This record gives sequence, C-alpha cells and structure tokens, in this order.
Amino acid sequence: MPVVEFPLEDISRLFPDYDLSYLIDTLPFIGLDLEYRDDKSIRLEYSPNRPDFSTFYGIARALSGLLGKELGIPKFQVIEKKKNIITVDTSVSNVRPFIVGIVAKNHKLNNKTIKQIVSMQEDLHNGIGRGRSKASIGFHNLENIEFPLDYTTALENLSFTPLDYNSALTLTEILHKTDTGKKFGELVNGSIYPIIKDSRNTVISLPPIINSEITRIKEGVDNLFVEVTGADKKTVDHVLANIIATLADIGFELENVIIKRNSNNTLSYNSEMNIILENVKLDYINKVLGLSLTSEEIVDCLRKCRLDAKVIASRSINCMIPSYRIDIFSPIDIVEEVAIGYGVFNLEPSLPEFTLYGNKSRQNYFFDKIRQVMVGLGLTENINFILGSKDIHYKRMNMDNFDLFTVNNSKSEEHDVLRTSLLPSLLHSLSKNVHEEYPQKLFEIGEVFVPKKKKFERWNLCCISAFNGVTYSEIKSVLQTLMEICFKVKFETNPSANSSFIRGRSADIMYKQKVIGQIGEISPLLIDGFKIKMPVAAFELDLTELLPI
Amino acid sequence: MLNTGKWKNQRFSEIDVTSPVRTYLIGRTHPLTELINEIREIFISMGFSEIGGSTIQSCFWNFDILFTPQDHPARDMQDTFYLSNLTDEEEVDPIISNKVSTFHKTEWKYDWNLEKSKKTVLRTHTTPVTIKYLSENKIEYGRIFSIGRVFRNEKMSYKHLMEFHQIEGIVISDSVNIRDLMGLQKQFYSKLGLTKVKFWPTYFPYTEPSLQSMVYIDKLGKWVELFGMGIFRPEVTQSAGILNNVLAWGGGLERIAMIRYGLDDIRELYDNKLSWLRTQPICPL
Repeated sequence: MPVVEFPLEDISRLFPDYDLSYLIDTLPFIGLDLEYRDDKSIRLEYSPNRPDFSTFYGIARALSGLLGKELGIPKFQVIEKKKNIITVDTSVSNVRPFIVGIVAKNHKLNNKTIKQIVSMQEDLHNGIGRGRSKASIGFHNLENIEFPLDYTTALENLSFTPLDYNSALTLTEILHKTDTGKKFGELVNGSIYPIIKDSRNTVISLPPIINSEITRIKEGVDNLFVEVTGADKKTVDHVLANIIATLADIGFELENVIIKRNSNNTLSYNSEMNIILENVKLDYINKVLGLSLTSEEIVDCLRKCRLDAKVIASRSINCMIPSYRIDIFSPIDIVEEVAIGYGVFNLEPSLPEFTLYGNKSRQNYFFDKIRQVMVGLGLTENINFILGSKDIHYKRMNMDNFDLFTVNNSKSEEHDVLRTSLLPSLLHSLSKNVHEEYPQKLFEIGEVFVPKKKKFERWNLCCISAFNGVTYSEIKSVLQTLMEICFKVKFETNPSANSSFIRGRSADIMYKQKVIGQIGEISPLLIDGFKIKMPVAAFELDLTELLPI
Repeated sequence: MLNTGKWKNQRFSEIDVTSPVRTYLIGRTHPLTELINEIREIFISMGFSEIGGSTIQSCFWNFDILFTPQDHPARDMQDTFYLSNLTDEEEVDPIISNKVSTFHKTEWKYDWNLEKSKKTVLRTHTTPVTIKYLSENKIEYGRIFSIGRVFRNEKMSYKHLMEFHQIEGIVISDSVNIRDLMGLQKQFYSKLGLTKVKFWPTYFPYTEPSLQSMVYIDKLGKWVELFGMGIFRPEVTQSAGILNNVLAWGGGLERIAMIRYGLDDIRELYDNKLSWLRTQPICPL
C-alpha cells in the first residue's frame, strides 16, 4: 500500500483552528491508516483506489470535509488560454494514443513541494497508471517550452538529452541505457516511439520513459507544464484531474491546455466535468446502513465527503462526484460515502435476530476424532507448510519419480512445490529436534496435492515414531489402534517395495482392496539424509480415500 | 501383602513427599489447532456452520467474480502464487461469467478475458470458497464460516508468512446492515476475551462499505489491527445469483496466535520445535 508523509507543521498550517492530536485521530475515519508518527511528521497508508490521497493536499481536502470546514465539490479555477495547444499526430494512435495537459503558474517550487509532487507521480504511475501503461505523467519547467506542442512519433535514431544526462542519446540508447528505459521500454517497443516536442522542435519527453533534461523541474521554478499520456482515455483524464486538484491546492494558477486531434476535434479540461450518478434511493442507503436519515441529512453527509447531491424526488437523489475520484461506480459506493460523512464512529453496533444452529464441517468432525486418538497414544501434533522445497520433498526422500505441482516465481526457493505427502516434513521436523528427549512421536493431518490422482487435493494423516528400538510392529500398533478404536474397520498390510522404507519392512495399507497408504521402517538412507541418528518408523494414510469426506 | 491382609500389622516406611518428580511427555495437539478449535466453537455458538473448499482456485473465483480487475496489481505474480501448467478446466456457468464480463467492462472499462480467468492460483483468501458455496447452493439466508490456508508470495520474515490461516464469517439475509456487521464483530471479539473494539472505513475490492477493526490487547497495552469486514458489492452478489445482503469479515489467525502464545516471530508457529510444543500450556489460568 502506498504511503504519504504529512509533516505536522503542514497539518497545523492547514488546520490552524484544530487540536493536532484530534486531527490525527480523525484521519482514520476518512479511510487512512496511521503507519508511523514521530515529532516531525506522520506517515499515512492509503488505498490506491484513492489517488487523490497521494499528496497531503488531497488528504487535507477530504479532512476539511469531514470536519465540516469546507463542504461539497471543491472548485478549481482553470483559465482558458487559446495558445496552449498540443497537436496530436495520428501516428500515435497505435503507440500511446492519448494525451492531456495543464499549465500551472506563479508559485515558487520548494524542495518540500517537489517531494510531494514526485511521490504523487510515483504513486499514480504504480496504481491507477498500472506501471505507466494506462497513464504516465511528465512535469516540465514551462520556461523552456514554447507552445504549441506536437505529440507525435519518431524513429529510433532521433536523439535528445534525457533527464540526468549531459549529452544527447538516441531513442534506442535511451531504452537500453537509462534505468527507466530498461524498466518501461517494453511499453513502447516497436518501430516508432511517442515523443512530445515544442514549436522550436525541441524534444521535451519520450513518454512514458523519460523527460528531457532541458525541462527539468527544480527548486525556484515557478511555472510548470504537466502532460499525461497513456493507453486509456478515462485513466488519463482521471490522472489529470488529480494533478489539477493538487496543483490548485498547492497554490498554482491553472491554465487550460487544448488538445487538437485534427482540425475540427478539440478537447480540453473542463472543471465542471464531474461524474454524475443518478437516482440513488434513500431507502437503499438507509437499509444498508441500518439508519433512518432524511434526504437533507444524506446530502449533508455526502457534502462532507466533498461530493454534491440534489434531491430529485422525495426518496431519491442525484450525486455529483469530482473527476479526481475513481472509486465510485454504483449506488453502493454512495452508501459508503454517506457512512463516512455520517462518521463511522457514530454508527452504533447492533445485533441481528437469529435462530440458527451452527455446526462444524464433517471433515473437521473426523479430524478432531483422529486427533483425540493420536493424543491418547502419546503423539504430538505438528503443523507444517503446504509449500515446501524440492530438496526436502524429493531429493532427501530418495524418490525416483518426480510428479508434483510447482508455483511460479516464489520469493523463497525453500517454498516452491506443493507437498505430495506429509512424511518429508515430519522427517525434517525430527531432524530439527535431535537434541530433544526421545521417544519422539509426531503426527500431522494435512492437505497434500497429488497430480496423478483425479481429485488431486487430498487430506493425509502421517504418524512417525523415533527412538532406540522402534520397530515396524510398534507403528503398526498405532495404525491398528486408530483403525479399530476410532473407525472400527479392518485393514491389511501387503508387503511392498518403497524407496523411503527398508526393503522387507514396508507395506501398503489396504482397505477394501484399495491401497490407502504406506507403512514401514524408514530407510537408513533417509535417516542419514535428514541427519536424525535414530531409528524411525512411520505410516501415512490417505484420509480422502478412507473417510466419507 | 494386600491379598493376605498382612499389611494390617505392617508399618510403611516414610518417603520424602517433597522430592521432585519428572513431568511426563504427553501427546498433545498443536497450539494452532487449539486456537482454531476455540474459534470454531465461537462461530458455532453464534449459529455459524462450517464450510470448506479447494485450496487451488481459478482466477475466476479468487479474483474475477470478486470484482478485482484483471490488471489489478494484487494479481501480479509478485504477490500471488500461480501454479505452473495447471488451468482450470471446469466450465463456469456462462450466465455467471457473462455477468462478470459485463460488470468489468462497464465499471472497470476494459475487455474482460475468459481465458485469463482460467489460470490457477493458490487461493489468496478464503472468499472464493464462500462465494462459490453461495453461488452453487443459492443460499439467501444463513450464517457460515470457514477456516483455511491462504497464500501470498512474500518473503518470509518474523512478521510475514507466505502461507497462513484465514478465518472468515458470513451472514446472508435480506434484513442485515453494516451496524449488524459491527455488532457481530464485537460479539465475536468479546468471546475471545477482547472487549475494546474500534472501527474505521477502509477499502477492499469486493465489499462496500468496508471497515477495518482494531482491538485493545491488555497484555500488550496497545491497539492491534485485526479483522477487515464489509458487505459484498452488488456486482459480486448479482454475478453469483444472490439477491440478499452478504456481511463478511475475516483475517489472519496467526496474529491472534502470536498474542495468545506471546511470540515475537510468526515463523515459530510452524517450526515444530518440540521444546516449544511440549511446554506450551494447554489451558493457562
């Protein structure tokens, strides 16, 4: 989850009339998690479905609402300017079709603001921008740009000086040498590349990879040009709306940028472009929240969430949602906004009437009975991971065939195969406990995954016994006690060869003419491999075969 | 001596009744099993019935039907275990998949892909089991719960496991609301001995409204974040063919176990050290 830093001095600056700790205690109720606090700042974790929380300005906007300081959709003034034009060449349509932009003027950037902007950019790229594919953002120093701009494509031999370099590189070099080129190059991999250049033919960006050094933003810059490009129109618009709201809150004056797709098709940002959700029923809201709010109260709650609403009929409202919000799809999302505006701390917990009788699953009914028998026999239960390593589950088991499920890209090599039996983990458990008192008698009931079986998810029971003098009969007695005392069934042990056990001291466990498990004295090869230094006997039983589960 | 009655004329030598003796090594269940059983009993006492389901799930049930778009970062291989070479061959009812496709298209604005939904994962939560159960049995009233393993592709550390238990409670009815969910949650916690509870709003892709809860742990002297909860989004219930409201809550079990057994390192729960297993009190007073 992304995190935003909110310096305490900024909280006090933006909310001078409120007590600091009251403000901090209120933040969770707009959906933020206080992750860290020291005497200079707090860090808040937010969900990526709220890109407007990617700067503390956006957080302050929401907090103002809940406190009742400012209500309804915030208004950001955007001045119409005819000369701020980006002409879009048709060749971009197969590469990175959409672009929008905004000009922000007359506010001196300091390091703190740059830090906020960069962190917002990073979060928007990762979240709503889906790793820069759906949308990416470029911030530029307006002083070095001459409108109108061209959003067009270029061939790989075009060159410009990218950010952090002091000489020009070709587009191919940029893709292979720069960090962002290596990371995001595949988003533009092709024969032509999207570029933005100004009226003097200066390349200012190769979206979504890198900007040019010449338009770098730094401390002291006070006029900005911001462009958003991407594969998805709606995402690009949402991202721009978030940038506009933030820049306005920072204190910039905003100017429109007109997008010319062809001579008769122009588009530009419109601050009235709110999303409208029509005909949300009051009864629905009240039913889900267990409240009986009037239409006025509901409108009031929504305005506290920086939304607007109009009562259209006696029991119905139309809701207006600012375009920087991307998380409101349907009436249920309005219900949540009402809950937040009402204050989750004001919701009284209640209990529904019920006359239901619960029960445990049949499977766990059986497993509990088995545990009871095992404990009675003096065995200690183990719980191991389902994900194991090839070393323990295959190599050290001296297995000749290798048929198991594996997972892709596990972050840990020790956990990348699904166990096919419980025995390896219990042997591993013995090896970790060689310094503990013997006898060591362990059992585990757990899920295993056997690719060759039709129903490959199965539940097994494994029992293992280690001490000087342990024998086949000792472990067979455990099995027999379980089968007779717990289930009152008969079984047979047919001699079998199994590479995990000593030849001549292992058997298949037979039940109704079917093999349902293996039993025997563990082969010294395994005992050696697991460094146990003690004789071991074990059985493993397929409970899915035995029990009606 | 006992048979002959000779003992009547005998004097028994005295022994030192204060001298130390050994503690037996007894068989016992794993502390995690004990906690699971306790939680299972709490659910049952509140009228919940247990369900279970597959550990390997298709993306369809683990993500798609739960309104998680196919390009959602949580679906990345970075976070989710995808199984190599296993696709789910079981056909999803086209009525259900069409609804899912429509919701993703109209609300998330992209072309939903059926083939992608057939990839299999180790379930990242137990909710696919729940929604499949509701959908297959067309249940409109009831209380159900499940306790099972879930998986996240994380590097193991003292704080994180790549495999852990999740518990999940579900109430379905035409008359339940968010306050009921909060009330049930308080009741559940109080049965675990946790009486101070706080709620605040949060986000999950498939519930709305969604809340997070925090409980005060006396032993630690601090508030700890435990279960998340919410009402299933209409997109989810309608896809599954359910009409009524579904209240859901859940979260990891191991965090409670760590508090209960005073552990600082979550991995100890799966270490199976006999020195630990043999000495954990079964019923501390």
